[in-house]
Amino acid sequence: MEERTEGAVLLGAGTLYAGLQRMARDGLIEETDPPEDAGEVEPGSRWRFYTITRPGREALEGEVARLESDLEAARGIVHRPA
Amino acid sequence: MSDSSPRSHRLLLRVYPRWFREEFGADLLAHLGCQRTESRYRAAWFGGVRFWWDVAVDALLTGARLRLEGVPERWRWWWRRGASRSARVGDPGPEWKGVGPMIDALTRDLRQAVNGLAKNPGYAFIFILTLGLGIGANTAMFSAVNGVLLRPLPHDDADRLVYLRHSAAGADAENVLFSVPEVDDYRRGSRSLEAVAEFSALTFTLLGQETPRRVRAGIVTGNYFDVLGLSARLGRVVGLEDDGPAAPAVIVLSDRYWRSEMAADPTVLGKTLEIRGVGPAISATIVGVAEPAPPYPERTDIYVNMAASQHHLDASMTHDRTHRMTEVFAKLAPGATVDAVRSDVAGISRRIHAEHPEAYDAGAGFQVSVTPLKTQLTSRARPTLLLLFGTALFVLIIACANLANLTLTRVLRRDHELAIRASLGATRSALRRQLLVESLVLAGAGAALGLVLAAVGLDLLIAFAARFTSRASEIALDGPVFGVALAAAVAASVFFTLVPALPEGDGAVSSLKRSGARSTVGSGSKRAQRALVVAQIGTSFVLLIGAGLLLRTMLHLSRVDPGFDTARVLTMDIPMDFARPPDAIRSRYLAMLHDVRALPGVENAALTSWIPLSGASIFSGQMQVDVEGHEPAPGGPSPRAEFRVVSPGYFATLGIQLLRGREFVTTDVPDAQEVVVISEGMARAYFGERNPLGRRIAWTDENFRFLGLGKEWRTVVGVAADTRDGGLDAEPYHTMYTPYEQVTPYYTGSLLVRTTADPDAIVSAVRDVILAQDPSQPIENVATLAALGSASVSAVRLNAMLLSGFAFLALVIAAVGLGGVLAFSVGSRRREFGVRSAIGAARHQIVSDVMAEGAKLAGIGILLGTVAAVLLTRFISWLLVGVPALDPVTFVAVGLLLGGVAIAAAWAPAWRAARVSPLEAIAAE
Repeated sequence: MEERTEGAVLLGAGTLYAGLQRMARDGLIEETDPPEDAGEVEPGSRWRFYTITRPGREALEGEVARLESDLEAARGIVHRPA
Repeated sequence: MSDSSPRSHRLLLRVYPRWFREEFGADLLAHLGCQRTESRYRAAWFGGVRFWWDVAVDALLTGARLRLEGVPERWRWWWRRGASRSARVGDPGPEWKGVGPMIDALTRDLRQAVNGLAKNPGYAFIFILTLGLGIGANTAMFSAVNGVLLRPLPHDDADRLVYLRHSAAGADAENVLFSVPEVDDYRRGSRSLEAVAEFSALTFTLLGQETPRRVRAGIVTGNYFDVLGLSARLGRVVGLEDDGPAAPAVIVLSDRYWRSEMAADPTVLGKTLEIRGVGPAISATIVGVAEPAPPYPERTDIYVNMAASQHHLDASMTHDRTHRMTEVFAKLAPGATVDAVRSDVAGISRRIHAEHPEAYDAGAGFQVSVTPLKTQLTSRARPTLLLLFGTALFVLIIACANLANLTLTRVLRRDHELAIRASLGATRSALRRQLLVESLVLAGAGAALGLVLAAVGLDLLIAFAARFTSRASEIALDGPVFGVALAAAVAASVFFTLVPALPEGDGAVSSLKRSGARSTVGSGSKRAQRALVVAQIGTSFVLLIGAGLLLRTMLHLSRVDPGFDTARVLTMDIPMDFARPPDAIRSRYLAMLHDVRALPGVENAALTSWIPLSGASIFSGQMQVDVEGHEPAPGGPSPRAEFRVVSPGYFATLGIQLLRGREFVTTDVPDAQEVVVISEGMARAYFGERNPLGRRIAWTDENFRFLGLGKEWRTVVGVAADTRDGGLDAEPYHTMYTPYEQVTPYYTGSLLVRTTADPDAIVSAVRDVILAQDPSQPIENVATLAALGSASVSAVRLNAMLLSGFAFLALVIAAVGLGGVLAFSVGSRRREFGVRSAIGAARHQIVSDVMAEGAKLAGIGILLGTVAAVLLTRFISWLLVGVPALDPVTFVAVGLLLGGVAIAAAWAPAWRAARVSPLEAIAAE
């Protein structure tokens, strides 16, 4: 997450796991077995794997759309000719 | 759960609810471990700090949230967070309602605040330091005020306890104590008093432990502990069964003495000790340890019943109306008021004055006052503590004004950023909240720093307060005190977010467009900034005046001529065993004096009843005398003099100048003519310009009857220069010196040694020759006269130091404030200065322009400060010696100092203004 956003988004451990728990509870994601390409998973290691569910994907798309419309509105203000 | 994880990490997990820990605990620990290693790798120790900050904030917020979710739905009506965030997909914007989303928002604001502040460390540093110092000073002071003035007493029914004081204003005696017949009169005569207890203090020697110990004993009536509402923490206290001459002698230890001298040993109960006081030794049994309570009227080591002191059983003690050595505490009858007691007591006083005129010299103005015990315990500390508390409050006000200014300036500088946020849809309340969180973070850090500073300063404060009140031991940083600091911090941060005006909606957009890269300053904000600076300067001026006046007092005291030479004089108490016959005591003292004088390095030595500047003696106070041929005015006070018993060599040892006649010599013995030396002031008062030598004076005070001093005439053989041996801040007393060998030796007990070199170097030699005479001789209070002189003004010095410290703090804060405001003003006028220098304005014109702005603010501040100081200095006039409250020197000096500091603070911004290049200013357009 940190790498992907070049350090702009830092998730605390509590935030991360609380978020995962909430998303799982609301059915947006679900825990799965390790995928094929994950390589050898050592027994007892702390890896957990989640996959996004259909309602989860819908929610994500909805949120992206909302953010885009917000951003559009903001751009409109900043670039409006004086 | 991994046991290899640090304990601190596992402790942190406790924040989360159990079900969450069970599900994710191990993952969290692993995550934390990685995060910590990484942050250390990145930034060494600072990485550690950053890690803990991030982790703590994260854990507290998410933990709180998860725990709230665990609360059953019907208890969560106020939670109203909706099903989850997914339910809001497609909403036009988040609705910040309910606690859940609020915590989300708060987390974000908190992170934003920390990141923002990290980018501006100077601002954060000054803010935290200013607030920390302000809150620290206040917390420490509030701890003192709380411990000494506000906290309830440990006594049961403390509100019903009063202290009676017998004074004689005409004789300049503020506490003459009561005699037993007097106490009986008040006890029987007052219906508004339920019970009256007696307390008198004597110094005893306790035998029966490894070494003889000198103790300060309170001899009390059987009802003393019951009246004062104090019980035993161990064993029992003195009770009614211990009254009367037939009762066995008992000892109750004070809690402090039990802890410090007996190692809190519970097996001391039942132990028998021998008490040596005046008269034969008495065996007494330790029966208990009293519960801790502020000792009053003085520090007391042990309490004993009357039977433990032969003196207290003697007829002169129990029947003589003028044998006054008892302090009186009393308990109000249910429903009675202090005023009722006062009128009772006044009536009884009138009656007994009429019935026993011989015991109440009309000119002495005998009077009994009634004071609630709590007020009495704190009467001396109250004004000083309130003064310092007020000062600390002033500093907090200045600090807050400065912080408001800092916040204001920062908001104005961030005008641009805030305008962008506003135009992106951030509501005014969201911006306000962000600023609030930022201020809260800073205020929290400031409060934490303040508490640390207060804790560090508290020891100093306890030592300071102990000079004025027996309750100093109760001062502690505790819950309520912490609450005050926290409340101050929260109030300050809320206040600072309300100060600046915020951009909103279209207004924000237009301000954004208008300003481009420049920020604009509303005239309202400007006025607020200036008003704050003026307030800071004015308040600093008042504090500086206070500090200046106290410093001048200190200076005055350091220049006061005490009338004797304090350099190279060693002093000590060598209390004598009063059980010996007087002749044996006298010859033992003279032998010691002889041996001490023979020591190499000793220039002279003398015995005295009073160590100058020590402020403690049993026989101080003005004693009544008769002066031959002097008739006191009818109704006026009879002549009085300070009583001193000194050996030959006293005046030479102390370097007191003899103005006429001679000093005492070894032939001034009991069978020779009885002689005295009087002080210059006394000679002038009773003999005017006439020669006092050969005239006769007698000690006639009733108190001397019990101590074997006759009323015979004594011939004046010398006049000594006035001294201030009672204290540098007091006027010299009328003093009459009596030779050591012509009175019973009960009075003496102190030794003065003038040395040729460092007096401390000779202490052990002096000790050795005294112990050679008597190995069991106690030697106490060894000190140099110079140290006693310094200690006698230490209260003034501490007051001056504390006030100066606060004033200096205020000055620095005000200078920073003024400099900051001018710098900001210059920053926002860069274009103007650029244009002016482009069209040919000289640099010095621009400099003087900015300096004038600073001078104007400082001038108004000083003017308002002068008005306030003129009104306020009267409240500290009681602290001043030799300096008037409206001392012009102090006012002018402080004005110049503050003006100078203001000019220095204005110089840097002015210089920067003059260096704005025209090109830069125009390019910015």
